Amino acid sequence: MDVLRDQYFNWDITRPYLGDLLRGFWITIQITFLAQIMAMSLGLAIALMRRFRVRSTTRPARFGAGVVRWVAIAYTDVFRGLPSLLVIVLFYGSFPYLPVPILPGLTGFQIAFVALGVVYAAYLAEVYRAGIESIERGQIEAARSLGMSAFASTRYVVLPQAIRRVLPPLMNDFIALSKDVALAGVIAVPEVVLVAKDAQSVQFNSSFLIAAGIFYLIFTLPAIRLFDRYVDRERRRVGGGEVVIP
Amino acid sequence: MSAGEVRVEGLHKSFGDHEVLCGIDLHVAPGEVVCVIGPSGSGKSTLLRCINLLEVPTEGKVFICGDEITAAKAATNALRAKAGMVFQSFNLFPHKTVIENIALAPRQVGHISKAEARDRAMALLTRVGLAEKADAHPTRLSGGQQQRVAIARALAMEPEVMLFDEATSALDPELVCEVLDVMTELAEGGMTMIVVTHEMGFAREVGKRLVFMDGGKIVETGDPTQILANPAHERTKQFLARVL
Repeated sequence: MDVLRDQYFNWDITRPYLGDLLRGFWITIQITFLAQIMAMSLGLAIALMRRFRVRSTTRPARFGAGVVRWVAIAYTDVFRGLPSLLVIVLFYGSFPYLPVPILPGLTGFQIAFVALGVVYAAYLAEVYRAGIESIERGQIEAARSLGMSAFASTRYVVLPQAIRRVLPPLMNDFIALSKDVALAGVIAVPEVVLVAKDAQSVQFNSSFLIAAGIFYLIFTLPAIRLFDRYVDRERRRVGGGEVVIP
Repeated sequence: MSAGEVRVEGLHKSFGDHEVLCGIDLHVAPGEVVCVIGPSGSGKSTLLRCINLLEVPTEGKVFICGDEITAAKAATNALRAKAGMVFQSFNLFPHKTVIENIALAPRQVGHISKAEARDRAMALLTRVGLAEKADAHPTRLSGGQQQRVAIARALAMEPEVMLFDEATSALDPELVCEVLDVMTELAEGGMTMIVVTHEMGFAREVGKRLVFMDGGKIVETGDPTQILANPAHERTKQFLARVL
């Protein structure tokens, strides 16, 4: 029992590193939120691009719309298929050194959130798409019959409903993203898992990893609870909610 | 002046190989109330949906208030706003309150101020007898109430024509009246209306003209009382014998 406590829950050995661990976790949180904001915006753009249609029946217009949809599909397929780790390393270790440098002069921190934002945008695009496609055709017809443009009906009728429906899967990906931030350690971003691992290899003790794990849980568990409560309240407000069939 | 006039010329509509509308010609004069009846699959709803271009006709022209909505360069959105539509399934926006449902399009399309949109919405809600439901969400309302809100929402764009697509078909029998009352009042106020319906009583009493459709064609058209009592075509007779 003592060995267990010594190796995993050793407070005395952890305490001097607490500041470093907290700083590491602060970096984790910052990357998580920046990447999430980027993924949500880019993902929405991609989801909308995938539905892009033009009214004009001329060939160039239809071809152009097809290209837009094709780009969105290719983006989703490629970035969902690649490991996040590979994308991070690729962005960090090679893009700035191309003949035409991509992302030059960015810090590891910036590369990490951009790379994760790019990868998660592909996931979120699919989440948005599922939400958008779940909206009944009648909703769009009602909006258009009132004279609203395709853009206005998407903006005011489709998206507000679609996003409400996909809040739970969005939250899912947010948590997954927060965990993938640990991958930024490979490009030397001092996020919490890297800090803990370094401390572990110096002290030959795993309590730092447990501490990092606890930080993660302290962050995600209340976030999930608060979020669930928000979703429930929102459902009740518009008159949905759980149905109990006896 | 062509305000409130609808003209349909040589309208064809196919879905794949299936021709749903096979050459429809219809002229609805300003202030006229035309009821369209016919068996299911006869193309009544498709006709209505072609008029405000929710379905794009395969062939033919549609004019709303003298402007061709089927023209390549037509200001489709502006013309649609002139033809308010009421759907069988209400299609209220569930994430918005009743008053927001009504005020949304005037705000976003008509670009009027928030206060003005609210006043207009409130006046319309009062007119359909639902002022006290202004801040409720649509799911809290009965079917009849929802449909009255949907009518108010369409009226908020101050349309010249109203299209009703089986507006009472999804309602419980005792809720049908409250919606028909609102429609009758509209008709009496001089609104041009095209009403696809199964309510023969409404067609007889409120309709100024009756159109009987079958197989994507207009079989018979004329005075409602006349047709309902004494249909000229065999097909109309058969249909009426089954529904009356």
